[in-house]
Amino acid sequence: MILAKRKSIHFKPLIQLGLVFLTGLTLINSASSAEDPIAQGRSARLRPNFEGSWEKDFGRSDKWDVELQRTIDQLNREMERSQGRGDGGSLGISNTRGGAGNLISHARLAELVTRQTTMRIVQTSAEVRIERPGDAALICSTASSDEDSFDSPHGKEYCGWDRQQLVFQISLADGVLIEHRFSVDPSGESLSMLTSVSSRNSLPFNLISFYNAYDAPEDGIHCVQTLSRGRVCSARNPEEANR
Amino acid sequence: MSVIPYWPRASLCVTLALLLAACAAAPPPAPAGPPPVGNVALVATNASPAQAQAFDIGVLVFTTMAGNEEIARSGAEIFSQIRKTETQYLPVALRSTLTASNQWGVVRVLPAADPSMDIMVEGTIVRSDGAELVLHIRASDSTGRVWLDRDYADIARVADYPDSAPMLLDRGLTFGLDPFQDIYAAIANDLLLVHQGLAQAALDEIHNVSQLRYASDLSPEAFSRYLEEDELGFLRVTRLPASNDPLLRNVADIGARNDIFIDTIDEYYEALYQDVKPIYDIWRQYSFEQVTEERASLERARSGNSNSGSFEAISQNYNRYKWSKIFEQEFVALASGFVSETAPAVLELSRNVNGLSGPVEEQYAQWRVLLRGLFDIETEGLNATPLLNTP
Repeated sequence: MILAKRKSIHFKPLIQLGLVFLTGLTLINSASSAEDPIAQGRSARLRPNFEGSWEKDFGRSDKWDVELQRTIDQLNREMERSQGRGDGGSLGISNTRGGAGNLISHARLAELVTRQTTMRIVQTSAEVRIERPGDAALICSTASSDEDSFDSPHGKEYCGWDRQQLVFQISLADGVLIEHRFSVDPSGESLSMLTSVSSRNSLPFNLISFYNAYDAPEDGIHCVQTLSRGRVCSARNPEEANR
Repeated sequence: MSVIPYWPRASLCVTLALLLAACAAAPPPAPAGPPPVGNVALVATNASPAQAQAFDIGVLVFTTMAGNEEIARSGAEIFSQIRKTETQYLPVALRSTLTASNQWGVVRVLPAADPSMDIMVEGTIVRSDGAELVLHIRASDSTGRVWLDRDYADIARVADYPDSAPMLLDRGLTFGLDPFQDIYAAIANDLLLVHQGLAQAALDEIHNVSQLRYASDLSPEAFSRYLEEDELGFLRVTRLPASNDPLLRNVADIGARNDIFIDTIDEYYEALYQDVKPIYDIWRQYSFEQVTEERASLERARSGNSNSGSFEAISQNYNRYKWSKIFEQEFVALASGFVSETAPAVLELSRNVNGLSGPVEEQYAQWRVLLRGLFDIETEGLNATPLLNTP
């Protein structure tokens, strides 16, 4: 699935037509499944389990500069090929220097938003909460309905499920779109996050990060937010901490 | 290829959002509302009005009109609990201001309209975010004449709050004056203006209607005949019962017991106010800071971004987004802290009064039924037709 997503860089008119057709089919299906509460309940129960502490696997994860170079090389090859064919190099991206500049900016932004080396995911029957150090938590309901999970003048965030993938789309006020697509392998030992940064005038820049499950040490401290005394913490007893 | 159940709808939404984002780069304008009341000095007097002439005022627990943006935001349930506490907290602030003016008789916060009151004040919270308070106030007298029916707005300034939100180690460390004291003073002054604009005969009529309306509430068969609606729909006295009427004396006796009950209920609201105030002051300051920070951030966004598309510009945009989200998530956590810390005070409000049970609104309704029963017992054997006086 992830590879299929990565190949979407090579959009061709025929593929785009196919996607439009598939989107139509999906809309019809989503309308019918929306009327089926049993199917909805079942799909909610069958959500993959993302729960746990995860640390980045640098060996398997993309390096943004390498990926950027690969993308630029690929674009150059495409342009050379299309110039050879005399079709003006229509790649769905601006051929100007600004278009290339956007790609570099997007690559750097992708690196910025995937910089965290660890993640903690808390999953309940109601929601999945992805906590990332130094960034806002990504929170999504496990229900099948689409959700506008955050809305501010600086940007909007939508989340939803694409089969077994948990997807967050952040549209910033300046038109930049960031997508995070989370998948977990059946063993529950490895998690991947495909981050895609795009805007209206550019193709998406994709970056895949892999994470491995690890046992985060229990700090044994239980904290509660209060208004009058700030964050109030107390030591957990060992039994509670191990629970 | 299997079918994707959800995502296309969201994709469409995002596509639409992206298209709209280009048109809506500028943030939406602040919601239009009534002009702020500004600095208002409460018109107070040292000389209390004669007790017999003083109007009693009942301030009903406020209602709320939660905005769509509040419902849509995350943690909506927590915010609605805070708003519910505000509906019981803010009327006490208005009551205290009316009492401080020394222009009125008894001023009490009530869970439901009471027919013995000369004036009832109803309030709806239109907006309350620490930076702005907008209330819709409707005040009417016992005849049904509307005294006030309008929105009031007040804007807090930085100077209205301490330099930093205190972490209350000492519960005595709270703000002196309410940041929105001007709004309560404006309402009190407007009520006084209407009062001063009425002729003595009209004021006497209101007093008489209040007394007969209360009597009629206790015993409709004995007293409802003394009141009728005029052509404008206002209640007026057709004739007065004789001052030595034994039924009327019983009404006065029952009324005195009702006053004690009302005082007790009012004390509970006062206790809630005192318990919640330290936490509410901090909460409101956090809310104020969040709103002002958001405005400042929008202003920065408007003035910056000359080199849009550059990494610096888009990373700045991302950071603004990120911090607004972190701030909101922390805000939800703080709201949760507010709710859990004020829960005991809210619970205390609903504790049993004089053997009655249930929420305070239900206890009040039970009490009214009890008083009617008491009146029936005490007036058993008395002539149901009171002595008459010509008005």
